[in-house]
Amino acid sequence: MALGRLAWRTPTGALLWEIWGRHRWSFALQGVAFLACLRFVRWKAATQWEIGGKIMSLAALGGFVTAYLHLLMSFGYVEADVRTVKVGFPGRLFLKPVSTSRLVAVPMACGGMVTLSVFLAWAHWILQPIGVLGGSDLLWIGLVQLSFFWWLQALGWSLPPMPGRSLVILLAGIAHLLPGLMPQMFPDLPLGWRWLVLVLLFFTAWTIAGFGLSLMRRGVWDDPARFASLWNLLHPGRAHTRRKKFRSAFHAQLWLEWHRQGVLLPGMSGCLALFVFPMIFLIQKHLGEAGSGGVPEPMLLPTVALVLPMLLSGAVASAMAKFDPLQPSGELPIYIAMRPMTNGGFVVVKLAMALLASALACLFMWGAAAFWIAVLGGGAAFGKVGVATSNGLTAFLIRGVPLLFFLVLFTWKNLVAGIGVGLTGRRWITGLSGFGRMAFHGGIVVLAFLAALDAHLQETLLRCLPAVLVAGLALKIAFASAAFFHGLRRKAITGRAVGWIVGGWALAGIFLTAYSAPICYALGKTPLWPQIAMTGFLLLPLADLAIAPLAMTWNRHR
Amino acid sequence: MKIPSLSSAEAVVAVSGLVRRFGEKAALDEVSVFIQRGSVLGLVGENGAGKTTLIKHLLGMLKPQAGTVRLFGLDPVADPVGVLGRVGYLSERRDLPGWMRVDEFMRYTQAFYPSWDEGYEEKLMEQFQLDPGQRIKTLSQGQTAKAGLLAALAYRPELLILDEPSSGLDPVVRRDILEAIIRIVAEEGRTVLFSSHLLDEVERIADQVVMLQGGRVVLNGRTDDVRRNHISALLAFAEPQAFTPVVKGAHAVSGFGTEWRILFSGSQSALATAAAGIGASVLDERTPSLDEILVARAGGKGS
Amino acid sequence: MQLRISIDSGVPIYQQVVEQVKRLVASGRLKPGADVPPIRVLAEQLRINPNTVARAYLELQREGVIVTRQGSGTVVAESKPLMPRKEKLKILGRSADLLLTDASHLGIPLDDVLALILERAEALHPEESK
Repeated sequence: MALGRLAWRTPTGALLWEIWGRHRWSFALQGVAFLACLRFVRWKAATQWEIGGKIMSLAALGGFVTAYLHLLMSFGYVEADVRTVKVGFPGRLFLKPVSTSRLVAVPMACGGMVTLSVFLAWAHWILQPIGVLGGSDLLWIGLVQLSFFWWLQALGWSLPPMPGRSLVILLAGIAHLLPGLMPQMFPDLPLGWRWLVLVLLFFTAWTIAGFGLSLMRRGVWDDPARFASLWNLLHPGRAHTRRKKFRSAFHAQLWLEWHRQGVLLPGMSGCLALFVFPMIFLIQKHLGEAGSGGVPEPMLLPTVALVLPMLLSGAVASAMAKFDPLQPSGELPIYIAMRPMTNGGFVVVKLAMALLASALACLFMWGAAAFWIAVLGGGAAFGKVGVATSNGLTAFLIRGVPLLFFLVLFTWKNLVAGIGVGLTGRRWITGLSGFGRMAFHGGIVVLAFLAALDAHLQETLLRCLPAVLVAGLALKIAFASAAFFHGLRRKAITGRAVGWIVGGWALAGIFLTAYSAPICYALGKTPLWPQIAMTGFLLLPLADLAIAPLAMTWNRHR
Repeated sequence: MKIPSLSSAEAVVAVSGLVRRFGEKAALDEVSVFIQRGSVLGLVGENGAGKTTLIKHLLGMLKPQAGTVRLFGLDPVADPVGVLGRVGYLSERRDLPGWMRVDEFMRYTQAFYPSWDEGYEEKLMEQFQLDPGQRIKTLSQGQTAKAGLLAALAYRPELLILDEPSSGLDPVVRRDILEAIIRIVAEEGRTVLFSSHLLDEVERIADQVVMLQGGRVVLNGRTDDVRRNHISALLAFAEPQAFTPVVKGAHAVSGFGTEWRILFSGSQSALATAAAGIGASVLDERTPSLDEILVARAGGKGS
Repeated sequence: MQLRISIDSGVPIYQQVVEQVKRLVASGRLKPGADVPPIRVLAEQLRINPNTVARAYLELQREGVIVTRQGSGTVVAESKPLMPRKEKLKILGRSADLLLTDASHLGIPLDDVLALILERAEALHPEESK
């Protein structure tokens, strides 16, 4: 024991200990998850239940992705400083009497080995048995993964705080798909060439990390003038123009929200749109040629495009309620809290920002889809889309445009659904609510699953559905009214803002009702229409928006 | 120019019986403070005495657990718009949005205050030597403080609240900031509340001093009165004292042998009586500085 | 008008301003009719609270040392203010106290102190004492 403690006393040991000390519990959790998935693989091999097996496979895949992302985060060794808004290698370590090469080598070597072994373990014992990775060359993918990890580290540490920094890192990460797919794409390439590429990648990553970190340590990038001059060179005349006045407090706050949160979703959608379509195209082509996946589905591309922003919005929604993404707790920054604006005013700005972000994200995605279909698929693909909408352009305008509107609406809904809870700025509430939401949705999925199996249950559920919907809607309206009433009485929100929110909700609900009517008719399910309309109203956020000003009040006046 | 008095009914800030607990610890305990229009209040006390907590209550960022807080007769929690529109604030941590450029921050702030004075802003920008195109995160500590102060001054708020405006700053910047405060006060009706560790600053520019200790107000009065109510006296004993002598009314006793210096609160005659009671004579006496009073009050609890 | 404010002296700041202005007037360095700096300017120059300066000016006005005229600001009063002898002696008294305290600490008898004062006076203004 004493010897073990002494071993930590070396500089390398201390560096390792910091990682270990910080993440030991989550590492333990990863171990538990791995064992649980291992257990499941055994169970799957024994059971005959196909659907259960599929669901569990997805869960195992999710477990792997989470575990891997967590490893990237903990060994990435990138820290954010809220005050200076700097992200990169933890600056405090520069003060330690340790050579730069060791500062580079310890997290890279140790992190690389751990991620490689964890990846191989998951891949060999879990991903391959459940059929996710098929018969691919595990070692090759593992080593490309290692290069991916090292590149993320190297760029994350050594890129100066310039604009577009994260985009470069993202692109470098994505570029690793190419060596990863090399065995499939160029099966004829001699093995030696592949290894040469890999060694080159490794070497460059280490060189960048070492060189970049030594520059960083010498404070070369700390001089802001260096970037200012570069920036001014690229944008002549910009440095000296006086910024224009905002038209109102609302516009100023919207500008701030847009810069802090709004760009997130359109940015992500835009970046993804750049490569997701060619990738799908390549995969489809590959599968089509191999003959294993059958004929590529012509609607797959547009569908992905339409749904991606909606999926992404779920991922970024948790950050929406914050006023600064770098802020760990949801507490309001003072420079915002002290502004003379009603709590409801801040909420309305957030809603507007979310709408702007959703609309732009969807537009980017659709634009990219159209572009790639035109470039890769040619007229034929457009023709296929035309076929899918049965009557060409006219039909597209009549049916497609409302559909696009619908998608923007639901992207927005995803973004703002948790705003009332998130604005409380209390972690235990957001955690609890997240758990509650998960349990609720999980319950619905389980119920639907069971109903699919049991005809009797299905009948009972369908009979109860209208009553449940009416009750839910009544509850929602009652809750929202109570919250609005409280908010108005406590001056947390103005009557005008209430009008905007309620009016928006009613309009969107009416749109959904009207939109679903012809669909129900076409599908021959007209009797279901009122229920679908009610579900629409129920899905649109109202209560959450109603409590948002109160939550904000609770956060702002602690 | 009217001289503000403590008795006038026109209080810009009225805090009474304010209580705040964080868990077991009482951060503020029955705090009552009134600030008259046009006066300058210096808030002093050790670190953790509750100065920032009190200030956060004034801005409505903390909600009173008991007692009331009124600014301009309004409750900052119930009516943040009505109160905050008339208050300028420089926070202790100076947390400004580092990603904004200086001019962007000014435009952002301006949008909230109709009374924003662009001419004044430009004048201050020049005087403080701030570069409007620079990102806030790249500013030095002093420049950040100046940028924060500029954003708090440019709309000419009726009440200016400064939390440790000069901590961590060099004398030149401190002087700039002090002068800006003085100029604000010199304009009719502007009220200032500032907390500080630098007691000579407080002494120079505060009309009223409030001293917090462990969440309680231990001193509250006109700066001159506070000083005049204390005496720093040198006591001489006939015999060398082996232990620190106990003097009633004294906050700090230090010395050795026959001569001991005490910081006494009370009148001269009371001091004479107290000294005679323990068989000592008063060698000399003088009015102590605020610094001495603060140190004696804060550190001399046990003796 | 150059004043010096000392924080450690134990004398309230407004009183320091009053005394120093009086001294400047008494010594003739501030002539009757001369401009007294506006409150704001003096406050900024001395880095003290304008309210304190205002209070000092008010006291100086009450004693007739300075007068405020509509439109032309504040000036030193025309008739040389008669600072009461008592007031003058009070100002000197403080210095005398300090001197005597030092003398008693050093064990110099009062007679020697008086002799010293006469001696210094002669050295400072030789023609006056003749």
